[in-house]
Amino acid sequence: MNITAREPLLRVEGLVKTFREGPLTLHAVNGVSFEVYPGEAVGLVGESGCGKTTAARSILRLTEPTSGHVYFNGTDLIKLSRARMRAQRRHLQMVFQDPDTSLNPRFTVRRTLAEPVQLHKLARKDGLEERLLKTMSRVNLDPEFLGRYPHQLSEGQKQRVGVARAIITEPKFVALDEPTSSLDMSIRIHMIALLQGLQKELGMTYVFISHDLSAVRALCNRVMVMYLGTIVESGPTDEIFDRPLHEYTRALLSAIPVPDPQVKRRRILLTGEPPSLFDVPKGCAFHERCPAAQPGCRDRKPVLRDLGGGHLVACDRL
Amino acid sequence: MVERDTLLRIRDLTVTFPGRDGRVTILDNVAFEVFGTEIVGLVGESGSGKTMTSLTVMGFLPPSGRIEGGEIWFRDGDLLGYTEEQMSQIRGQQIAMIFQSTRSALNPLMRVGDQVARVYRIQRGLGGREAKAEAVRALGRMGIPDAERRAEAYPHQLSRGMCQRVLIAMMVACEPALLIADEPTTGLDVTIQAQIFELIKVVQQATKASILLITHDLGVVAETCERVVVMYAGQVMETARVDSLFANPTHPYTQKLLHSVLRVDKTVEMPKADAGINEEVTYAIRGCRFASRCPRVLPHCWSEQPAREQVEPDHWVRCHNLS
Amino acid sequence: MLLIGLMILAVVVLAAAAGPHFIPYDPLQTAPEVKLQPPSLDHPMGTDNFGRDILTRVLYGIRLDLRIAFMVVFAALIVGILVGTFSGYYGGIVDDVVMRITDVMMAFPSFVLAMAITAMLGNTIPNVVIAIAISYMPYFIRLTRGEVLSARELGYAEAARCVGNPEWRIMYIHLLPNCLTPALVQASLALGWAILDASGLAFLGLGVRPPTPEGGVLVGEGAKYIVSGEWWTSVFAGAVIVLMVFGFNLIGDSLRDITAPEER
Repeated sequence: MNITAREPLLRVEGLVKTFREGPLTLHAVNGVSFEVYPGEAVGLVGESGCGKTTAARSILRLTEPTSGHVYFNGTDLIKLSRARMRAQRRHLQMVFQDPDTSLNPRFTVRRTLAEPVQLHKLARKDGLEERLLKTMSRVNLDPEFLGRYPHQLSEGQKQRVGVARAIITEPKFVALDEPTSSLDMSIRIHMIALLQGLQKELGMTYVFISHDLSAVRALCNRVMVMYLGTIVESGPTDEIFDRPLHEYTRALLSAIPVPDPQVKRRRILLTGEPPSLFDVPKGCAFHERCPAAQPGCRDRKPVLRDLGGGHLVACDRL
Repeated sequence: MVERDTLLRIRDLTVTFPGRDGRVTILDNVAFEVFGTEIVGLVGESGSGKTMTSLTVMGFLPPSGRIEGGEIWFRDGDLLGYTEEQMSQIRGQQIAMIFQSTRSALNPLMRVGDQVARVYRIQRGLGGREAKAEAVRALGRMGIPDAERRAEAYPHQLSRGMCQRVLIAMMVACEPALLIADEPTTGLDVTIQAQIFELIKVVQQATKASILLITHDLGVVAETCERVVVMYAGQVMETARVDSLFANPTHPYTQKLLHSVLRVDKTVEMPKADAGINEEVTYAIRGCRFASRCPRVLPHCWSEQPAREQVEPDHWVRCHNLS
Repeated sequence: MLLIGLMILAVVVLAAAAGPHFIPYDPLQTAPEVKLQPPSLDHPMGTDNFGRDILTRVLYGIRLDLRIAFMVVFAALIVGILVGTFSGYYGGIVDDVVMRITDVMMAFPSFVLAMAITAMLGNTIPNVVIAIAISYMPYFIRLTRGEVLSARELGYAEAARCVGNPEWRIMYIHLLPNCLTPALVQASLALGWAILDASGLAFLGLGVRPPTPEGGVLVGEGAKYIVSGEWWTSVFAGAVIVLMVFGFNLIGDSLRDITAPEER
């Protein structure tokens, strides 16, 4: 896959999202910019409150961004009217985090899956049935589940219906929000295998949002690490996981236990807890907890710089 | 081999619950030990019976559950034979438990410092002011910064990580011999999870307690536990020291589990498709419940439960086909 | 409980529907020669001061009361759920305005409000239906709005938008069906109250007026004869009102129990 020769499918520029809670302002996303090329699976990782889910929802305009641009195939999604945006949604889908609440409890699986097809007028009567069956088999769900309601399905089955709903319009781009986090450890790998297979079969581009870094490693070719609303590091998967440069990334990776007692881990323990999003520190967002912080880190906000080989880091020490 | 004192010994524990057609055996001849001053991991998928086992030890079995047989030896008595009064003496003082949902385990109307102090008053018989002072010290030892001020906070004002530390402080105040921790870090961020496990290890060293750590995360098991018990569908499949289990997984289920776990330190190979667990079929099997998915299944696996066999020092497996 | 309520209503409705076919009397035909007769085999509920058979008038009265009740609740429910869903979904200024208006409306006892509206619009049956319906609307609006407020945060609303649904479909096809339950439970209770309100207003001379047979009208007509001993002229009509309201209350209460949050 020759990435650099092509145009990016998705280009995000200066994305900002703030929420107003009375007199306080919550800075969920603080100026995020990145590109995703066709066929890639890019991981967007970070812990709770880092803004990854808000960023994804803003990109898809499920919540309106405060400012910034989102170019999809060259078109700025932010500038589109509601109606035009709805038309674009055929190619911009999302698999949601919680399978329990993301399916309408009163809709059968059939109705949930048929709706996107009907809304975008992709098939008529018999074409629809064919599409439903094909999609069900793609996610390894027995067609008899079409008549069931969500409460009659297991967690894993509900999650697969969510995936089916996202792919039934054969979108170019799918955002996956923690698709493995609510699944048991023993079935996560099967979901990853499924997602991988679907990507190859349908030629989709993924952004995979997760705090489960082992799942990200298995699926993604590139990773972006977020902390407190900004991207602090990004690059090819193996680069980031094997040679992390940003102190936060290093702490994050060292915190994850490895299922192998022979592997000795040197754990970098961070002090304290992340500051509140209402009160983002000036300068580098991470300097208060950074084990390698220097006096200057408090004043200057570092910018993402390419240190070679597509490995970008936002840290002034390097 | 060093003779170790056995703190907890479970033998042939069988528990049933009402099901669609009669009763379902949720725990089927569960057997394992916890020795003194060690951390044992109880590992399995959701529905494997690990939480149910711990609830049975604590005497918290829901009313619809019925203990059909077995014994739970703790120190010198069978917990299953104890009255509720005797159990309430054991709980908190000798066996303590921390759960997943930290916020609901704490009293939302009471300041956290007072909750910890209360434990010192009741369990250690300290006076009001002494107990409060000790509570603040304990919170500090748990790594809560500015402990004196934080002690005045209510649970909803603290993050989940902090609440978990408060709970651990309360458990430590009880000085139990056995601490059962049921998925104590589910839902917590990875960096906080790492802090909590470090804390648990420190606490364990200091109090010389034993910990039964219930988890579905094999990484946690590898890094925190000394011995492991692997459960599947209410049956114990394999128990071993951690090094033995990972180096030499003997039971087909354990092998399957270790091959399908995602890792952060290397890219894992994708498995072949798997039918997945069919609960109705699985729980109806009289023999080894992994029979329906086992690559080495033999005809009598379906009807006869395998006996516990030792394959290495301190490494036991229940399998008919130990090739 | 639900069963008893349903049974009571079934009896009442059957009686009202089928009864008049078996009874020879005309509810409006006066017969002064048999006025104020106590209950007998000829007249199981006696006759009133115009000689009309009370049982016949009571049965026709049930029909009218039920018709009014259903029309009232239907109107209040439709407006309530449409406005409530819209207000709960969009929030912001729209919601604020709707909330303030319903606040004002709910500040008045619904009976008084209905009286005032009837007086404003004119004393006819259609107006009394509108008046009572208006007095119930704020409650249905609030109930639906409350449900929608919490439902709209749920994943499936966002998923519906992601898939390409326009706002109106998200509101009325996805959210609303999941938010109907409290309003429907309230509706069954409201049917009983509507009967009370309608007959209360009729008693006072608003809405249905004599000689049209209706629960409240009958009680009003017979009221002056209680003291002189002709109790049957109002007691039967009153008892039937009580029976209907009781039946609807039982149904509404048991529906509320069945769908109570503790079960959910």
